[in-house]
Amino acid sequence: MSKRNRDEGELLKKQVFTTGEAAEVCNVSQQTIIRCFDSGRLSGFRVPGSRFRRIPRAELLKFMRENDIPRDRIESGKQRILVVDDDEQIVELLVDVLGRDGRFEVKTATTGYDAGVYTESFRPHLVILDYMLPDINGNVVCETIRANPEHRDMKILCVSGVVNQDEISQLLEAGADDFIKKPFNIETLTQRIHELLDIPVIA
Amino acid sequence: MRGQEAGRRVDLILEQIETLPTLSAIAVRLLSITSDDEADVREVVRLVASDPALTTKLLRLCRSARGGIGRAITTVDRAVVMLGLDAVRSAILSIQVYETLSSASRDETDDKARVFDRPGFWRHSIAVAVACKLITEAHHEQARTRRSRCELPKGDEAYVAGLLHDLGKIALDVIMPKSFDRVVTLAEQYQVCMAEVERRVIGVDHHTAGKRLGEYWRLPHTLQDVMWMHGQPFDALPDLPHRNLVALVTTADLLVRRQHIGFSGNRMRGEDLDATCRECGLDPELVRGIVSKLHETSAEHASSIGLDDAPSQELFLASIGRANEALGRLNVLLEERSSLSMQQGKVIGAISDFNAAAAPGRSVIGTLGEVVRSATNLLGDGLYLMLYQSRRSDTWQVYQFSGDGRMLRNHDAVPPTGCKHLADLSDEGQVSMRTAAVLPWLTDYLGDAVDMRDVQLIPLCCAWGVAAVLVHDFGSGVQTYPQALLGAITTTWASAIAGAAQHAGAKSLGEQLVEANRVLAETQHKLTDARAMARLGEMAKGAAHEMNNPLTIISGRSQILVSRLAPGEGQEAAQAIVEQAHRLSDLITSLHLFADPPTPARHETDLRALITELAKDARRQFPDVKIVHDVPDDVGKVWIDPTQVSEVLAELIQNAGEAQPRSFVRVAVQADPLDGRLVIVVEDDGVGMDARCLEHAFDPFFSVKPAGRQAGLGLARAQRLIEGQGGTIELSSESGEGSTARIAIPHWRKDQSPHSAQDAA
Repeated sequence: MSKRNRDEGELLKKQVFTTGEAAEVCNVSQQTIIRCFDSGRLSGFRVPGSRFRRIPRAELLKFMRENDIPRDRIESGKQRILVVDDDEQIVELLVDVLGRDGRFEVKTATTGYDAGVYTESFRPHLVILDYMLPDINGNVVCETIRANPEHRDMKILCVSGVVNQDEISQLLEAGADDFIKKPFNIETLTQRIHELLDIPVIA
Repeated sequence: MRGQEAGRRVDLILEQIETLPTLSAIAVRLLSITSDDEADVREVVRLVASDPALTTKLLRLCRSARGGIGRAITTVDRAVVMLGLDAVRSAILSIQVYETLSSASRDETDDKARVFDRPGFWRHSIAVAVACKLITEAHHEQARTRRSRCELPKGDEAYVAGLLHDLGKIALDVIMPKSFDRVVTLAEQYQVCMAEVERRVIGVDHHTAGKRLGEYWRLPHTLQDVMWMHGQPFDALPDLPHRNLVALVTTADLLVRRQHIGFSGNRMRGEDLDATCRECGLDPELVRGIVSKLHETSAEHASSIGLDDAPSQELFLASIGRANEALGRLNVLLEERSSLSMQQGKVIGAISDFNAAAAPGRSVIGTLGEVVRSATNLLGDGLYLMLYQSRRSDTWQVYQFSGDGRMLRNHDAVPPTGCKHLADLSDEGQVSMRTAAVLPWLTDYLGDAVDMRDVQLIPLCCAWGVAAVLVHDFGSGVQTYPQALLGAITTTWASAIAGAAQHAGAKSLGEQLVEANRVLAETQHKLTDARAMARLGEMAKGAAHEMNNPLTIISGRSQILVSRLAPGEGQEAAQAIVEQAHRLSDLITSLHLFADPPTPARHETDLRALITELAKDARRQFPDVKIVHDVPDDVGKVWIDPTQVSEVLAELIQNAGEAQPRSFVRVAVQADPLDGRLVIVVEDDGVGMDARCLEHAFDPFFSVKPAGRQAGLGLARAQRLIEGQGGTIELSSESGEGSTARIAIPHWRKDQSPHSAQDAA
């Protein structure tokens, strides 16, 4: 593993970047990063008691997305997806479907509680959430996720067998990004996932 | 209050009795002497003899009393010896009483104008006295051979009793001559007992007045009781020792009145002399037997106390004349009575006709008309209005009727300010006064046809109050009736009207009850439906969750299989599994949506665009069918749930398209000209529906379509959605002619929608 490779491996895990690291990731000059930081186009903070600028990972990703900068230096290219459903067979089915794509790193949970725990540790890009869970309802999970500003870019796709327009509206209000009815067409499902994650569908 | 006033008045009258002159000392002394004691007798003789005028009169009286023997009586002393003290005492009392009261005679009144004939009265009193004496003597005579239960005092005592029995009349006459004249007139006019009239007019009758005078003059109790109680039936008398004396006076009084001697003032008829005699144990034959002697003896006695010198024959003629006079008056009275009874007859006839015509369950107005018909028969032609106020109404209704009870016109009248409800105006005057306030208005209402001065208001009162007011013009020659008579029929009318009003009230209550029951039944039905739907909704919701999970796995796994299998190697089978899983899921979803439809979310919607879009879809689906639509410009933007209405219309257009229309499917929109609801009609000229199909068209899962098309929830769901927006959906169809579905949605303009506020919020 070359140094660059090792560095890149570190960069993949880093949560806070210096302006130099951000310049490397974005493949621009450090001056550009500093100018963007100071103009507010790139959000971050200064280390207390010093003038050192620090940029949180989420902010850097946002900045890169906004400016169409390729993110392969900072991200592995694998999108993390958390599947939450109390029916293990459905979880299994979804894992199979997502696994066929090859670009997803998948974790599963069968309760709302587990979903909350993994949201923090796994930091998924997308949560596929069954509305009816044994402990709490999907809209509560949505609200909990949205309560943390760090997760504001996390996508939530609700899946449910119950199609009550009022409940769907509640879910969307609680922070869900989309809804899909069970049983689903696998093509439709993967298309929605790609749309939400803003990645091209593999033909 | 009135009772107290009357009581004071009676006391005043009775006190006045004590202002009358007292009896002379001789009379008082005479009354205190009870025995034939020698000393007493001597004293009486001495007293009488000291009064020459009295002596003369006494001797005359004694002479007349004893016929032949009497002629030998020339001195007071001799009179007492020959006739006994009692006889002399009676004679003196008679004279004294007469003189006392004659001298107390009214001074200024003109005798001629007086109704109460005082000399006549004295003649009557003397005749009664004589009759008493004659009957007593005859009775004592008879009692020697035949036992009788009737015990009578000596003839002379009976004489005094008879003489003084009506003394109260004289007393009343002296005290209040005018009132007493009126009593005499009324008693004669109505042929009733004088005492009754006295009680009404004066407040006290001559019986009480007589008793008081007797007490004042300290007359013996026997006499007081005669004055007080004579004239009463024997059985009604208290158990007194001198009960028979009282009865004797009653009998004698009756006998004398029958003989028309003198003037008693009493015109009571119908008493049976024989019965009166038998009651007290007197022999009627005996009583009648004295009549021959009665006239002559009475005349003698009258003249002996200085009344007059009319010979008995003349006295008889006078009494006959008097009887004729009384008869004449009686005839006039009878004529009046007969005219009254004719009127009574007419009124009773009218009441009976009115009641005969009464039909149960007649309306208030019908009854008012009947009353007018009855009134026309009774009172004659003329104007007839009825003023009526129903229990719950604030206004009066004025109805004008023709003579035969047809209603000509009616009008609302606002009652005068502060006026109570018509029914509560129980006082007659109040009705006239209050209703008079509508009279100016009535003048306008009636125009010049009627002279308002003739118009009268007759309140029709019954136990419930004033049922209505009859307005009648009493103009030209209308038959009039006494108030009391008219009252009899107005009460009948009023009761009929009040009865009709009660009946109408009860009827309307009954109708309201039936209506309420019907609504209740409908509500219960709807509630049952709603409950069934709620249960179905819960069940479908559970089913949707429980069944869609396995279906997801079936479908998902099959889809993976489809992608892995090659065509011809099971891919088709896997694909079929996927489709059937989704079909089953759709069914569950539609069942769920049917039972628990989402709350309509109204938005301002361009209906024309919506229908145009639907028509475009339909043309794709049914390329061979001509699909036309017509949305008028004035409908414009509508306030509906576009998703739901779109879903419903799609279902209807789909049905129409599948009905094999010969030429077209038409979607037309308009605002209902009657109730303003938004009406969307989808019609086709396809195969139509038969009656059975039409009846069950909205039932879930009812379908006549060939198998393969989705289960028949479409129309049922369409109905649920439209009803959810407060609207209705109707189907009409002719088999072979085509079908028409008609949706009507209320409150479809944003500003008229009750939902707009909450939707905006």
